[in-house]
Amino acid sequence: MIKLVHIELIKIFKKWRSYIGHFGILFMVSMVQINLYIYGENEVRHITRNLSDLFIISGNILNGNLIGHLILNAFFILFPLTIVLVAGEILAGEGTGGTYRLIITRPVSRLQIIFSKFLAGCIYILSIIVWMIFVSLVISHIVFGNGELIVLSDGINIFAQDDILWRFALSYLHVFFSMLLVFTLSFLFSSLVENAIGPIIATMAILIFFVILSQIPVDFTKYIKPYLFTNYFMDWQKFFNYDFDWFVQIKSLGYLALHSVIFLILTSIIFIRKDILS
Amino acid sequence: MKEIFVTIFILFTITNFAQDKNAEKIISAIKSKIDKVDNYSADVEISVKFDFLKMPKSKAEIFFKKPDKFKLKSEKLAILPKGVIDFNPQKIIDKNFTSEIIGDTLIDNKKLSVIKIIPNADSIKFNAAKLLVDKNEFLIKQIILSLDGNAKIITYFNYNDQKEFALPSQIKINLDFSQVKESENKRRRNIPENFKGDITINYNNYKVNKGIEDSVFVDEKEVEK
Repeated sequence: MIKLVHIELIKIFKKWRSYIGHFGILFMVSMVQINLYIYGENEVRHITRNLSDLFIISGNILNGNLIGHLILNAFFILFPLTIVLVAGEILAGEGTGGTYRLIITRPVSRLQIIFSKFLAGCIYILSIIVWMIFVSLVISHIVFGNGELIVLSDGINIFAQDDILWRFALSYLHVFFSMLLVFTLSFLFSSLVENAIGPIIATMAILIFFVILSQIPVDFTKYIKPYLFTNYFMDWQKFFNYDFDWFVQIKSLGYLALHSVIFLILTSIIFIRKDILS
Repeated sequence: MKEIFVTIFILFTITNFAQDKNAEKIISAIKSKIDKVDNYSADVEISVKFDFLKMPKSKAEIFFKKPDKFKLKSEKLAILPKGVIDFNPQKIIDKNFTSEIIGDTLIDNKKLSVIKIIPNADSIKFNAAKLLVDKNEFLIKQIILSLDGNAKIITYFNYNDQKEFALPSQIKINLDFSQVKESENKRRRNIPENFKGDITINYNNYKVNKGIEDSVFVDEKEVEK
């Protein structure tokens, strides 16, 4: 199994398109960091605009934690884009390359093939997330230093330095589960076709459609909203709230994980029953 | 019958006049205590409890120099309510006002005089204020401010080793803007128009009249003074 995963990882990481996400994140995050380095005071003024009417503010507001949080908020949308580029091709690419027969005639079960591809996909998602953590949090800490985090959400939450790291850890864990869902959905579509473009477009279309559907201001949407998995994608933000509900957050993670499991099971069934003709 | 009414009226006028004089006397005594302070610095610890603002306790150093120079220094992020941390009772009692003693009250087994202050100028931002004063030590123990739109701010003062300068060891502020109508306040993002909350400030290591350089009050890092 380890060897199979290793082979799948080689397949993923030898393709230049697998690094589009990494380069995209590096480029976008660098732009934000350079901008904040030069014009950081404007951002601080923007954040504290309402507060400064009522409060005197002192200290290092523009710090690595704030920038890490701003970047995660701003570029969360990049994650699905980068994931589908790899997930859409992970099975369909075998069809495009004509290697389906080659891989299934090896002395490994189809289920093992699916799981090795799935695990390789998980490692790829982790590589994207770890890269994001490195360029947005670690680099920002080196350049801008440490400090308390101001989060403007329903109200104003300010977190002490020693109360931030675990929140980021849980947030990124939630992001991982969200992206795992995106991956398994794209993986499912990838098992149905032999061209990677279809799964990529279909996955993004579903994500965009669900987001639009949940934003339509009609009564009907409030009934269907809880059943749209995109509705849970931004729940990571709740970890940056003093009184978040652990049960709600675990439920959110569970909901994302359940969808991933269902999509993975469906993918396995489709692939096991698939008649390979190419 | 007529004589009785005239007598009561005269007695009431004399008493009222005496109360006004008394109030002015107490306020003058408090002012003279406050006036003794040319400059001071202190370490402060602030805890804020609002529904819309949640934050850990802040620690900072504050500097004050006459007439109104104020500086907050903190290595960590400190968010301190304006008009509270740089609060000076003189801001209230220096204004154009009418004052009168309206009675006494017993708080923590101490008899305090209740002085009502009504501003005479439109520029003053409160409708009325009540000072609860310890007239033996000439210390303000409570200030109850009534603002527009049924808003109320009650400030509690505790004193320790700086009584001679009327500098508190602790200030507790209770802000109640819960009755304010939405139209009466300008809407701020993330800050509701109706809110209730408490702010507690503990003061330590006072250095009074030790001299503070003007350069201390110049700092480009401070976002807003």
